Amino acid sequence: MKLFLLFIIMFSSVALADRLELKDDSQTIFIDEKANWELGQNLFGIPFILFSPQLNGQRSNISFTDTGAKIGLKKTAISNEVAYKKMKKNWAIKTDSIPVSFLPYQKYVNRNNHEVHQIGFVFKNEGKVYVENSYYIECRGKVIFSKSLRLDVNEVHEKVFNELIDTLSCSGR
Amino acid sequence: MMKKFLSLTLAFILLLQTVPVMADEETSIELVQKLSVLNEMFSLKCLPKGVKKENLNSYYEKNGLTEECWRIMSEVNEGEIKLQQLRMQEEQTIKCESGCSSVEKLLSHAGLVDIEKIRGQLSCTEEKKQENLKNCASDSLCVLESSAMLVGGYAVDHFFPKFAKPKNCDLGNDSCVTQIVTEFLRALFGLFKSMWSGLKAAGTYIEEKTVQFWDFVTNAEDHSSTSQLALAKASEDEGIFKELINDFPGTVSKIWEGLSGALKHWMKTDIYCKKWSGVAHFSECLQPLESFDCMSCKQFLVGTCGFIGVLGKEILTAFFTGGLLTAAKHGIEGSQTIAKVLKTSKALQESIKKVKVKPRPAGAAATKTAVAMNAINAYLLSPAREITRAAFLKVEALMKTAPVAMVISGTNKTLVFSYKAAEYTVKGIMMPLSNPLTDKAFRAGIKTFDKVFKFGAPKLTVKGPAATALTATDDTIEPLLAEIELNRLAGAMAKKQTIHLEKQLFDKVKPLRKDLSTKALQNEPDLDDVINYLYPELRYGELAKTLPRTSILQAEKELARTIGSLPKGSARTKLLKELQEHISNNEARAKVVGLGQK
Repeated sequence: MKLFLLFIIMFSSVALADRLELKDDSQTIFIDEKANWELGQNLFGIPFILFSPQLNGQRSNISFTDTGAKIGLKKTAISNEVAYKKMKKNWAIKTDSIPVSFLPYQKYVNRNNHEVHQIGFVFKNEGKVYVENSYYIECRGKVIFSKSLRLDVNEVHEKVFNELIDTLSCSGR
Repeated sequence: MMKKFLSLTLAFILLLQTVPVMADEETSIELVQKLSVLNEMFSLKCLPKGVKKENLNSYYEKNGLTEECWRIMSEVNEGEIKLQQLRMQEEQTIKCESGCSSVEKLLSHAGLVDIEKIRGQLSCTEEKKQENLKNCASDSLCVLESSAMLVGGYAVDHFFPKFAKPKNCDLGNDSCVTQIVTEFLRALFGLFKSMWSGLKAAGTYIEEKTVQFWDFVTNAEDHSSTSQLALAKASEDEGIFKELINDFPGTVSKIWEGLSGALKHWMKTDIYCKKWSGVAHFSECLQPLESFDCMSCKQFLVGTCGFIGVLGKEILTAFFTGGLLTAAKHGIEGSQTIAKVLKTSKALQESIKKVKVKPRPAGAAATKTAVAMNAINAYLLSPAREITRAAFLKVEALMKTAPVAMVISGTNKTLVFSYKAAEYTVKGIMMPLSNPLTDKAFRAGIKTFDKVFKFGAPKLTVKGPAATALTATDDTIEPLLAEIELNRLAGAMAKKQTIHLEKQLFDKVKPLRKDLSTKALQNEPDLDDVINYLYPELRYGELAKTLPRTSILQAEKELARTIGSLPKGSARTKLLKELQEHISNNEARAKVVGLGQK
């Protein structure tokens, strides 16, 4: 048994790409590092926001937050698109935005075996069209929240957002 | 009883997600209802059954006050401040019966300005107006600094690391302005994580689909959408973007100056405009209310804070999504541009309609006002409210006179009114309170303990076997362990200090730990306890990154051998399994140890 354990210790490892550690007091979130994307911390109280290089006059962004909630999301009403739409329409009124369309709810498992729940919408604000997606990721029993925002024309950043969510993992006791 | 408790919990969680109240008859009643539920929650969760007012002191001295109960208490306190403002506005509908021809009457009648606070400031010389304009930036900053210092905690630490009381800047006992500043600072800095508390608390209710998931996350979703949109727009100016990302706290003063200057300009040229070129509020203001220029920016904020406070969230939303870049770039110079953002915000216009009180209500309108007044008065006299209020005053008094400490155990925090750590049976740390609680800070509505109090050196409340074995060898170790726990709780902000302390512990522990871990594991096997205190590098955190890879692997082997040398049995098997799980598929470990071989 002892020899077996020592064997495990010697050979335990995880193959690594370049990874960015988003460390909070409760949990560390790991995401792929993206060249020329910049990390902002505690802006508007949001622990981590990653910003793209400027494109078409703006930087796209994606936030990451450990909510601390320990909930099995598939048992909840997270897939209720009607309730989500109502929430977003109310927000649009408060910010003088105009909803354009909604992106349907989807659920999938990412590369690190964490379940992702995603939903989004497209809106117009001061003449510009934006695409926003909310992601709720179940990671080691806790829910991690992420939100991406980009100009509609910056479609190339959508691929980066997808990669970040697909390769997201976490650790911590 | 259980059913009532569960439904109250649910109502409470949903109510915590509500938007701020505006002053019309229906929302006065909504606020009264919310406060009634909060008072009932407080009685259920924070007071023993049938407790009398005269016994509250001894109850709190013995049991302390949890952070959750503090939160409820603060919500009630905050709600009652708003209720008093609404009551004032309701009363003013009745007072202005003979018309409002003078400027003073005009300002007070609309219920938007507290005339008592600006009496005597409504006419002045041209020189005085220019002086007020020139001083507006420093005036606004004075309000920000004074209020932030009253609030204390995070705001002070990050804005004013070298404590400097602003000169000639005494705001008196004005909790209204403190509230506005608190709201502003909170929107910028805090507490996004606390917006998830509804989801956290919901637990199994939400898994049973008894309520909608999205109701629990609305605040957090709204805040992140608004903030990320504001930042996306701000990124259009590369210089400002870099400033925000590299020194967010440092740009706050300018942002605040821009906002407060804009509020004054907006009130003068829109809300109180006396003559329009075309349709009111949609054309150019030809005759702004010049009396506003006779008020300094500080006096303006003090005099109108009731109105601004009620609309706080709407103003901030419009400001952040439309005016952040201008404010960050130009500060007070951007006031007129930002004022246009407020003026053209449809959401804000709709909210203002509900705030403005119509003159001489009669018929149904008068009845509605009377109903609202009755509801407010009935609440203020209710028995549930009476006991919560009494508890509030008792806790406030104890904070000022008793030796107060905060006990942290896991994620639970409790304020206790005794220093005897031996009384506590839960593992955690205890920190004596070192700053006296001021009335203003308590009433400022901060809902987490560590944002409002300053604490002294921490101690461990209960020590596990590893900590006991370790602290018995050396007197200096216990304070070191407690400091480490405290800094770990502070998270990323205290990273450097945590590493420094962990290194100190590591140096002390390393020569002793082989023997100590054997003793600790024999008494009461707890792998977490042994790793935390005797093998801290096996947390694979910042300390591990400073050590050679071979040293980490050596530590793992040593711990495995120590466990392996325990007597055969279920305890040894369990520990070996836990160690294996701790090491396998651990990305943090992989980052430190790297790929593959020894």
